[in-house]
Amino acid sequence: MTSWHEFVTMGRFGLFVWPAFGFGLIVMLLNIYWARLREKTARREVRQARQAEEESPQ
Amino acid sequence: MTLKTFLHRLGSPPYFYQISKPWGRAFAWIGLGLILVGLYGGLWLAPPDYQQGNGFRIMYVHVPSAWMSLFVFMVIAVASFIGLVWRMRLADAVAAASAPLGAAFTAVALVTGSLWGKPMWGTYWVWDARLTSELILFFLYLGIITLNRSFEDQKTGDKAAAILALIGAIDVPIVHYSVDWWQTLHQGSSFKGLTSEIAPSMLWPLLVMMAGFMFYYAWLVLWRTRSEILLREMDREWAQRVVEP
Repeated sequence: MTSWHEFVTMGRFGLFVWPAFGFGLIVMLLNIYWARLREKTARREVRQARQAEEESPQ
Repeated sequence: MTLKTFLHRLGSPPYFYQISKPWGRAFAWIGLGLILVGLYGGLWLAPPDYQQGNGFRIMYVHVPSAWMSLFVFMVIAVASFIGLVWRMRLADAVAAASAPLGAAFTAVALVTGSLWGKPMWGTYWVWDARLTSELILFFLYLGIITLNRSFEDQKTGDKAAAILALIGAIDVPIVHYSVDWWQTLHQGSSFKGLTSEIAPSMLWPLLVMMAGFMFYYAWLVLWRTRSEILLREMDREWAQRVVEP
């Protein structure tokens, strides 16, 4: 790259290059969010299973 | 501890759960560092291609994603085989944790490939062997995820998904060799074994990005596997102990 203008416009390919990297970034961030969500679900279900065990008559 | 003992212990869900967290954090930081260096090299330092201009830079997100889409499917196939044959719970958890990540890499490969194709080929999509087989790979991932979560009994879900993964693994060499076996609009392989026709100034950021994606996957698969283990072991005392506030 020789200038910021060339970097931003990517020659005449900016309309394709930046959406490609943007989509990649969004999916990578969503993967992190989904992993966090899955962990929360798992922890909640384990806690519920434990609660059910404690409440069930022996 | 010998390697054999270590691997044997690694198969134990509580042991894996305990040791995987610090490894995951290390992988996350290494992956982030590599991806940032790769982006700087690929988007700024690498010279424009003499034919494709700056459009070739899509390669730095497309190729690592496409490569990971195949690699993750092989991980799932191997884990599924181990889970089916040796009934190793950790292997089932690894397969279940990998499938959404593999689907995401495949989606990125398809979309970025499409965005690369438009200025180079004049079209976003063409039904050639490489693109079609990659799309089939995406549907295979969706099938594995769906089967895994479709049964009341998780073991049945794991088994059904494992069978689909083993059958679907045949698509991996088809995707890889499609550009050699058929006439395709998609360009040929950039790598022939360990050698590449890409100029070193363009190649090193690609290799760094590929390594970064690998560490990113390693981080997330460890994280997701820990969650899958908890879901599969929720009735066990150790699992109930680790979720205590």
